[in-house]
Amino acid sequence: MKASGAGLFSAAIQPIRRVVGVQKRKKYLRRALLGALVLLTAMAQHVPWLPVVSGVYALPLLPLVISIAALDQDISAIFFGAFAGLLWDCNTVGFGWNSLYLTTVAFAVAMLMRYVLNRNRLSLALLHLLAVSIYILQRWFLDYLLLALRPAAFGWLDTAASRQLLREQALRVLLRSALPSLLYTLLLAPLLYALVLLIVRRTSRKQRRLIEGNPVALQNI
Amino acid sequence: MKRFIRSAPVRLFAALLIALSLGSLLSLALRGNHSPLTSAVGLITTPLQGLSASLSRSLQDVAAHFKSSTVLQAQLAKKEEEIRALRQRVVDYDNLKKDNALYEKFLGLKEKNPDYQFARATVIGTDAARYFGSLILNRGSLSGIAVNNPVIFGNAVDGGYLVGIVTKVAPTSATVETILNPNVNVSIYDTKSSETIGVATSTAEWAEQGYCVVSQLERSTFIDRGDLLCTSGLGGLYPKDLIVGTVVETRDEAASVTAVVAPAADMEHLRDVFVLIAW
Repeated sequence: MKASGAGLFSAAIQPIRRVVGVQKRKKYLRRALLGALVLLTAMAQHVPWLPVVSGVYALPLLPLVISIAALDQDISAIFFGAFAGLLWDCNTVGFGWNSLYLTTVAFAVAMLMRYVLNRNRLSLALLHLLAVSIYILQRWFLDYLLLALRPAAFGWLDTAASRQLLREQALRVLLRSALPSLLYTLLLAPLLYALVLLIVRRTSRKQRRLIEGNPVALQNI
Repeated sequence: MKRFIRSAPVRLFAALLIALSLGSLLSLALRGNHSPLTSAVGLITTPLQGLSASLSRSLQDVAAHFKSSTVLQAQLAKKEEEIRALRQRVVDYDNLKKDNALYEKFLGLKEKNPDYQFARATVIGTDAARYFGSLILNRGSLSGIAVNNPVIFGNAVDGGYLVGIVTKVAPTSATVETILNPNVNVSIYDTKSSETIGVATSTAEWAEQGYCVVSQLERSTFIDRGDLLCTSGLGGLYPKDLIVGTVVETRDEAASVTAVVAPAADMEHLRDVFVLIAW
């Protein structure tokens, strides 16, 4: 029964096999899997599926985009960065900043990995730390610190009391929300990297060679 | 260097950057609407997100049952088997019943204000990168929702509880900033004295605890614990008589009084809300 089922399946996909070669099939499969992973991660971030710890949310889209940019081909990584950013923008107030940022991060990481950095744990950890920190701190700066420094520009009364209140608010948000969110996001980075690595290794001979061809990388990943 | 600049990834990045930047400029120009690219992606993903939000809620309900004893679990499993057999009819009946119950909650508000027009929406997510109460709804401009529409939650006896205000709209979704967000300010009056007393807002410290504050009140203001605060209608953003919350504490500051207000709407467990699209 099992053999006949496999035989039928094999016969059914024979036309596809004739048209699309093995490597191309694997490429499409890789892109489909990564796209699904981006979509699921966006939902995990915004629904949210991930536990909210004392009002602190994780931002898993950031480390996911960095992992894809570090492991996948440059062009598709840039597209995934833009896709992840657009998904994020659907769920946020703003003017499309997230799509610009994630596209830029994907491009920068892909280029750094290709021309400058070795693909090892240290460089990946630094890239994650840098990209996530820049995002969280710039949001904190624009939403809270700038408000504390220039209250009148945002419609607040520029009095000593309001400036004091806004400064305390900015510090509180930094210590109770922004930095914990940064830590929470970085804690998820290894898991997301492992998922992307699994998908890329199984579906891309070229990328696997690229990752494993570097003896330092082979030891460290 | 020339080869690098002319390479495919760099050209693709530049093209995407220009396209996304144009979308962002358009979003700014449209003053609160999403860019066309974001709206296009949202058309596909918002229904998926709505589905995943309802699945997530169902899973949370199931998880609660694991805290029960073994006997209760066995009984529950047996009941679930029975329910599965009747599921199709029960699901249709439950949906109709839920709709009726929800609209019934607004009958009081609608009867008092026949000119109000509502759009019903469900909360499908939150903005993870913003720290104070931003909600995502599964309805947008296609349902008549626009920026600065108030969002309420209902009660047949008291009327509408103010949840917040719409700040961003796409064709199939809307972003709401709740009254726990320090950027949201609501002019309020005390129902006991019928005086417009000030502006309810929040701060980082109070928002974490789930409260709003009305600060800089004069010492002569009649306000006390237990007072009900409603929107005054001043400013035109919110109609009058939407319930904001109840005073839980008054604090004496140097030259003024601060009232701590517990919002009437339970922000953490909101599911179905109504957006006031016209009044």
